Amino acid sequence: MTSNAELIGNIPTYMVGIISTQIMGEPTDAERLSTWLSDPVRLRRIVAGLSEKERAVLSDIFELGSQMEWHVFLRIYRQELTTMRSILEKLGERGLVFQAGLSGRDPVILLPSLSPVMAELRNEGLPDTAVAWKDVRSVSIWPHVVMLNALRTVKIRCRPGMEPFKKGWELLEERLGAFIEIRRVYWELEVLGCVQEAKGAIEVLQGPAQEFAMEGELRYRIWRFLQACRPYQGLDAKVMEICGIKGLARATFERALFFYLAHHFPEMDAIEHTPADLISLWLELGILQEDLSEKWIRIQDKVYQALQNGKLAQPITAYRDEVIIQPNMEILVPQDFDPLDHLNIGEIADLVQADVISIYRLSRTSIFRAIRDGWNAEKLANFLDRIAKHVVPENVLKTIAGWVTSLSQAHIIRGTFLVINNCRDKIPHGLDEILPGIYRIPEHCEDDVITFLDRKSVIIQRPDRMPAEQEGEMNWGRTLPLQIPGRTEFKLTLKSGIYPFGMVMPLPYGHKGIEIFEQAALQGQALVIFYPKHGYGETQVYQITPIYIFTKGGVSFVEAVNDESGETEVFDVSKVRALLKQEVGCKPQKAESKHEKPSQRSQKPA
Amino acid sequence: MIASEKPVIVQSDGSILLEVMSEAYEDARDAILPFAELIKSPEYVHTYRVTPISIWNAASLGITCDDILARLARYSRYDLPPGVVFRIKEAFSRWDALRMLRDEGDRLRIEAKNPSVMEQILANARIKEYVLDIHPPQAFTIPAGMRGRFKHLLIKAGYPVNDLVGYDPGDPLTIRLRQKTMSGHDFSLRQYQQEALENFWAGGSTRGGQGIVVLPCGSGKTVVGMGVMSKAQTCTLILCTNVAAVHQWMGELLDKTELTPEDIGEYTGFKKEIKAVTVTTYQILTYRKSKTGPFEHMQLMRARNWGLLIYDEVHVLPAPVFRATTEIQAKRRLGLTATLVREDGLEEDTFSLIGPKCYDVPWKELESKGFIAEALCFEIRLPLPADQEREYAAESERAQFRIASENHYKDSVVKRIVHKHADEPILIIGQYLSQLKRIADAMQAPLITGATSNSKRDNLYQAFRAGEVPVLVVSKVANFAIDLPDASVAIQVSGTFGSRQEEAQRLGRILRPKQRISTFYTLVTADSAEDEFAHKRQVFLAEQGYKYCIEEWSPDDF
Repeated sequence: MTSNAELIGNIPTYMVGIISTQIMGEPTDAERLSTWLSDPVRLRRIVAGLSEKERAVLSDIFELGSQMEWHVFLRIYRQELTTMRSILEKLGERGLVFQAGLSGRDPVILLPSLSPVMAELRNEGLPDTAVAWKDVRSVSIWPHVVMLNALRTVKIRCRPGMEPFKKGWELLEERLGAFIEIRRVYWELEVLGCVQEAKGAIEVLQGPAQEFAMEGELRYRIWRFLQACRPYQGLDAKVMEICGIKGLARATFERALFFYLAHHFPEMDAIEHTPADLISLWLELGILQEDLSEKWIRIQDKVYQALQNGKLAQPITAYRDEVIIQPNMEILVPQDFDPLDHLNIGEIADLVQADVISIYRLSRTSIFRAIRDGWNAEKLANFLDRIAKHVVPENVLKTIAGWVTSLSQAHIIRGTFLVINNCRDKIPHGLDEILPGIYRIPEHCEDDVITFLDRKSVIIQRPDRMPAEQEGEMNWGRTLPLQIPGRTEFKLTLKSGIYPFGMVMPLPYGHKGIEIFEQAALQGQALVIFYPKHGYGETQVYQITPIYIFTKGGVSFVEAVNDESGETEVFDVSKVRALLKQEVGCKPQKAESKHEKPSQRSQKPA
Repeated sequence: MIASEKPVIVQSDGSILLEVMSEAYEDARDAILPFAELIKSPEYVHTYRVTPISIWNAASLGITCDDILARLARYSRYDLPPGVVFRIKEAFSRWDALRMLRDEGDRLRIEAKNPSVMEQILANARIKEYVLDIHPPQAFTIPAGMRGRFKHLLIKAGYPVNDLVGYDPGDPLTIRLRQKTMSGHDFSLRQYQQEALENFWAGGSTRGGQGIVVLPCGSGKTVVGMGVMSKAQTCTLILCTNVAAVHQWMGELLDKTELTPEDIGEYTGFKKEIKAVTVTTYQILTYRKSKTGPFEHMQLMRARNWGLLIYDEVHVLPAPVFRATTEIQAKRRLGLTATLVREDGLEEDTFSLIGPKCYDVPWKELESKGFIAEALCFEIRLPLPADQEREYAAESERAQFRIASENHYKDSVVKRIVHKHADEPILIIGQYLSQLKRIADAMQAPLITGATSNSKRDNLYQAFRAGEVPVLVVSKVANFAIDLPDASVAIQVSGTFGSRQEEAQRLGRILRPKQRISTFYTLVTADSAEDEFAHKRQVFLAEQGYKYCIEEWSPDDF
């Protein structure tokens, strides 16, 4: 429901007079009623005069997208159902809240022109400027980077499905210490596609790992946010829509989330604490930012931009640029060091300990690994020089250079030949030397030879080795920017029309329903009933004055005077769908025989 | 001080990184030294470690837990890891949980702070073996003779006992330090020697009187020992690694104290004098005729009412002496070493039986203040000659190591280094006798090995000191406690498998303070089994704070 005109258009014509009499105090036509209801000054005045509770109800409906399904109503207010119903009735009398249909269990609808007023109310008290927002908490991808580096340093064997064996977990715990939630970080890397299984062992995928480090912590935060939203489809967009960059009260935000979950996931139990938990998580992740008083909340601006434009800005917190390279071959890396360079350090050095300062050690093995991955002596020296806080000790550079030159290389020519360079003492026994330095590998023995040479730290070049950049792909899941839908529009079955809340009541079942007619008969009171038109099954409104109630064949009937025609008619009580609750101030206008379809109605000027 | 300028980083495992380049380095170092042990001190960042033992040491010096945490917080760049804070508090809570007091007769009384500690201690079957009587709810007694062993067990159980039994003062002996040495030089303790002495002595209270002083070679550990003797004023037994060291100790005592030759006895394979101050070797104490026979000379430990025992080079203390030490816990005990590194990992035993480390200082710091010589370390990497290369490829790993160590090119490099330092006293140190003989012959230099008689060794050392012998070739016998003050160049042609201890001791030979810079060369065969061990040694020296330069020589250089 996007406008008052559309809403009024769904009110049966014969009810417009009654409704306008009730709301405005005089009967009028649909157009005037719509205009009158749209007056923002009047609406603000009315809202300002409402009680806290009444405003809270309006706010709740607004946060639910200006429509509240009846099951949501029951779920939210089950403790104070009667009170809330009476509040809604009062609001209905003022033309602020409507209800679709006659069953009494149809959605509650907020007057569309009230939405801007409620949006203003939502941010009431939030100053435009000068809100002192707390610094965003530091969520680093450091644990992931050191995990990747640890996986490079130690060989971890795993079961199918990439679950490391117990020994593997122990090894990781040993290296990564108590600082890191090892299992969570590992499985996140697995989901992100940064690691894969190769021959029963876990292998770091160079490309995705680099991409992960390059995209940085902001992308990781957003990924965690989207992951948290995954069980609740559309929640991410909803957060963007309701929270935004300007911010709103934390309590309002929490309630809005609750309504969203209650509305869209009625089958989920115990969602009462979910919004608070999600907000805490998002604050923890730095997705949301709260002010110093912890009353207001907003989406962190860089996150907001990324969600809106898909453009990732610089990291939220600044990186330190201080790596210390010690003469004893240790590299000391702070946690807040640039992740990409940190990842690169793991390529050339072995992780000894991940801690406040992570300690790496350059070793022959690590340099062997680096050379195999495409580094060379010059590149290594330049890299170390670039990242080091102090001058790189000379002995470190020379030792590395010595290792690089001493590394043995073997080139396997597809099929049978192995060309060896600088490692005559490292070849397996029993190979035929065809020419000096060229050996024949027996059929089907290539893998054994490769394994043997690998153990001896010989760099092997194979024609079938996959280039690093082709291995694996990063899996961030949802792409950015988020597609944020406009405000939800109602898809209601409006066959039975829309009425101010509480104006129409369904006829109670059984004896209670008959009692109403009996009492009207006794008091000579007129009733407005919604009754199916003969032969069509469509609803028609009658104003009747009951005379006599009788039962025939177990079915109750009421004999009444039709006030419009002045004739006496008999009505089947069980077929009365609803009745107008209030004292009727004026007669319904001459009703058309049936309601027009809402779609047709909405096209006509009200 | 803003956070980023703070020099200390506390790691979650209790190690402390201290950035040397920071302006607050010295203040921070002084703040943490009382409760953290120095592990390594490479050029940029030094590593200390907080352990239960270091905490108990601090507690025994009267430092409170809050004080430790405040000092850490003051200099720490990041928040203190909660685990470390917890462990410090936990270790502190255990300190003084048990007290050892003298009881009537030949018994010691152990008092627990609360019954639960007592219950926990008595639940340990090995501890309970020693218990004589239980005095509920919080005390029990043990035999006085089990003092050392019992303390050791309690340390293992995680409960250090606050030993308030006190020390046997020993037979009195007047020992005074000279103002001027016999050789005519002014003499007084240097500041760090005085600090080490005060830390050990602790005002003569039961808090002190046992412990280990760690100082680099050439920085005057012997002087600290003599300082302690002058405080204790008691008969002293000094244990050394070899006879040459015994003679050096005796010479130093005569030179720097008012003791006379009549007061000082030598108890070695050659002489068996037991005097008020007796200097002996670990070898003679552990000598026995057969593998199962008794240690005939171990009674020396009880031969006099010693009031003080000094263990020189305590890191090589042999196991039987350890055991004997457990029996003499009533005596004051001082350990002296340059490297409290035991390749057998028995540092904990050293703590419980000799005493806690009571003083340590980075080598580089003494070097910068001129108390030890400035040293440059060079690693010269050589190829293998073609003929040895073939032999090398065919051999087992152990044999490969020897071939690499005895690389013939090394002889040539030695010659060039000797030529380069022609006017300096040079020590050539090696592992393999055949290689050393070859080099000695080539250089026409005398050779000292285990087979060289002590008198000949003394004569050669004397000649070297006097400058009559410019080049001396020595085997590993010269690793320890040899004072060759003028040696300024050491060439290490081969060594054991990367022993850190050996490296420190060999370097120590040239660290005695002198006018010129000392140079330490290590010759290594590149791309060989020796390479890996050389790398370990390189790491060790770098961790001691030495600048390490690498030179590559190619076959064309020969």
